[in-house]
Amino acid sequence: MNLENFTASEVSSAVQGGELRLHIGRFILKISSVLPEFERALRQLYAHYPASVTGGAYDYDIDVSPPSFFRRWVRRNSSFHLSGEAPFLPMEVGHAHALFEWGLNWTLGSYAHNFLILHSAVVELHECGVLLAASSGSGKSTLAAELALQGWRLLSDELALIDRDLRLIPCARPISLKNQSIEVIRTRHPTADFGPFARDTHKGTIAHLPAPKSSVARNRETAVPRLIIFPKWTADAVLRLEPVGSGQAALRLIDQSFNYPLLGRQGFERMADLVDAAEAWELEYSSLDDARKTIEQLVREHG
Amino acid sequence: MAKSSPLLRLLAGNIAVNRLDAEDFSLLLSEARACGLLGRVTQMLTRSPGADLLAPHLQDQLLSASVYSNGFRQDVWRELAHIEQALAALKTPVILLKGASYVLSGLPVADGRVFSDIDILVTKNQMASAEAALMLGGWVTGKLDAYDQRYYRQWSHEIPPMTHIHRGTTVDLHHSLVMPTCRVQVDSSRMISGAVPVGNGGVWWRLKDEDMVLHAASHLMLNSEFHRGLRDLWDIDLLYRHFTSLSADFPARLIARARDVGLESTLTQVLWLASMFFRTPLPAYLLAVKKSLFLRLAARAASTRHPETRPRGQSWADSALMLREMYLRLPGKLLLVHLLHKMSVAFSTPEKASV
Repeated sequence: MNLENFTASEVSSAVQGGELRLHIGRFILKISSVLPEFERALRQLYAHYPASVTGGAYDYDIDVSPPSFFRRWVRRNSSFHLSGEAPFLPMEVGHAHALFEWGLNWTLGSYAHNFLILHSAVVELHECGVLLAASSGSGKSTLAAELALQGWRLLSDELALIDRDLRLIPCARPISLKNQSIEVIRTRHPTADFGPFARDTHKGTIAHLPAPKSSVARNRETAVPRLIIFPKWTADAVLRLEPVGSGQAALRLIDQSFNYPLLGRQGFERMADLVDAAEAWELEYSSLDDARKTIEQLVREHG
Repeated sequence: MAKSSPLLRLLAGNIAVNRLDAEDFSLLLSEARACGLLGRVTQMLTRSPGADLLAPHLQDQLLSASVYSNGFRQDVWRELAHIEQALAALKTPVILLKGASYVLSGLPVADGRVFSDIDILVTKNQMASAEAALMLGGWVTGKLDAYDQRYYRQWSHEIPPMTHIHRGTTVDLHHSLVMPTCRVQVDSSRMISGAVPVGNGGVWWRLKDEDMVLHAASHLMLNSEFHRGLRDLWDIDLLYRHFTSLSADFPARLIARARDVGLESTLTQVLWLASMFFRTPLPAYLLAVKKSLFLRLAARAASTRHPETRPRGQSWADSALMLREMYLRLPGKLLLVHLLHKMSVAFSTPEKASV
C-alpha cells in the first residue's frame, strides 16, 4: 500500500501515534509529528511511497515537532529529531517539511556509512546512471528536475549512495528547488505539482517538486554509474563540454563527499573504481534544453 | 507511560538478541543512538550468535556503524600521532586520559567507543610549554569572553579546549584530574604520579589500572554529564571486568586505592550504579551503598535517553544534577560569583535567533 491509499485520518493518527512507516527506497522511516501542516505536506510529497500505519521495524525514527509544549500553540515552530536528539535549531512551522528534507539528508550522511556518499544528484536514462555532481548553487537540482520532468529516472537530487559493488542506490525524494529555479521549472512545466512553499528560510524560498511516480516505483532497483557530469549554470554562457580526467574527477568528488575520509581504504578503492567505470565531463550551460540534449547525446555515445 | 527498554534489557543480560522482535530491534538501535552507544551496541550485536540471520536492513545498520567505528579509530590513531609530534620536544611524559587512553592501550572498552575530544594531562609546571607547543602545531583556543577565560585559567583543572585549525579536532589539556576547587577532595597528584608508560619510549603514559576506573568514576560522579552516563557506566563495568579477569585481587586493590585518594564513596556509588545497569559482578563489600537521593537521581539521568523509553522525571533529574555539580565545583563565594555572572549574561543577551 502507498501513502495515498490511506485516508487522511488514518495517516493522521499513525503520525501522531508513532505508527507510520514510510519506505523510501531501501530505507524505512518511522515518522511522527503533531503538526498538521507537516502531515499535509508529507501526504502530498510522498503520496506514491510504500507506507504502513501499523508500526513495525524501521531504520531511523524521525520526529518533526515543536521543541517545547508551549511552542505547539504560541509562536509555533518545529524541530527535527532523530532518535530524540535535535541536531538543528528550530524553524517556523511552515518550514517543517523543508526541515524534514534537510534533516533526512543529514541523517543519511551521518548514519548510512555502508555507502560511499557524495553530494550529487543521480539520474538514469537507458540503464545509464549519471551523477550530476556539484556544489550548491551550480544548478544541479534544477537540472535534475528538468531531466526528471523530461522522462529521465530520478534516483536522488542530493545524495549519491554507492554500495561496495559500485551500484547506485536509489533514494528518489522530492527535489528541493530554491528561489529563481522554482519559477524556471514552473514556466517550463506549468502542470508540475509543487509542495507548499517555504518562504524566508536561511536559503531563501524553497519549493519541493515530488519525484516522478515512475521513479518512486523503481526505488528498489539499483543503477550502474556510467557518466559523471560536473554541471555549471552560467547566465548567457555558450554551451561548453570538456572531458575531465579520472584523477581530477576523483579529487572533485572527494571534495564533495560526506564520508569519504571515514571509509578509509574502502572509500579510496570505491572512488577509484567509480572514476574508472564512469567518464567525467564538465558542462557549462545557460539553456536547460541544450544541457539536456548534450547529456542525452553523451549517454548515447559513452553510456 | 514509557515502553520497556530493549537497550536496558539487553545490557542487563535480561534478553537474548534473537528474542527481540523486529520493531524492538529498531528501537534498540535508536536508543543506542540516543545514548551515544551505537558503535558499542552494534559491536556487541555483531559478535552475538545469529547476527548473520538479522534482516538485511539491520545488517546495513550494523555494517554502517562498524565502518564508522573503524574510521573513528583510524582518526584517533592519526590524531595521537599529530599530538605526539607536537609535544615531542617537551621531553615530558604526557598522560592520555579516558577514550584515547583506552584506544592506545588496546583495552576492550575501546571497542566501538566514540568520543569527541582527546584529553591529555601534563604537570602544572609544564602547562605553559605544552600549550605553546600545541599552538605551534596548529591547535588554537576558540574565542572566549574574559570571564570564561578566567574561569578556566584560575579555577579549572584544564585550559579551554584547543581546536586544530585544519582538522577541527579538539584537545583538552589538563593539569589535574578533578577541579581543584571541588568539595570532594581528591588526591589527583597521587594518581598522576602512579601513571605508567604505554608502548616503548614515546611520550604517552596512562593512569594505572585502578586509577583508570577511579578517574572514570570521578569524571562521571563529580560532573553533571549524566546524559552520557550510560556510556560512562558501561566503561566502568568493562574496565572493572577486564582488570578483574587479569588479576583476581583487582577489586580489593581498587577499593584500597579509592580510600587512599579520597574517592571511596564515589567508587562504591558508581559501582552500584554500574551493577544496576550492567550486573557488574561485585563482591559483597562493594555493594553496601546508601541509596541516597543523589543516587536515585543519577540512576534516572544515566538511564536510556530515548523519548519512548526514558524514565519519567529524567529532565528534572538532569537539572537537579546540574545544580549539584555547581555546588560541588564552586564552594562558598565562588558559587555566588559564578551564578551572579551567568544570570547577568542571561538577562543582558537577546534570545538567540532561530535559523
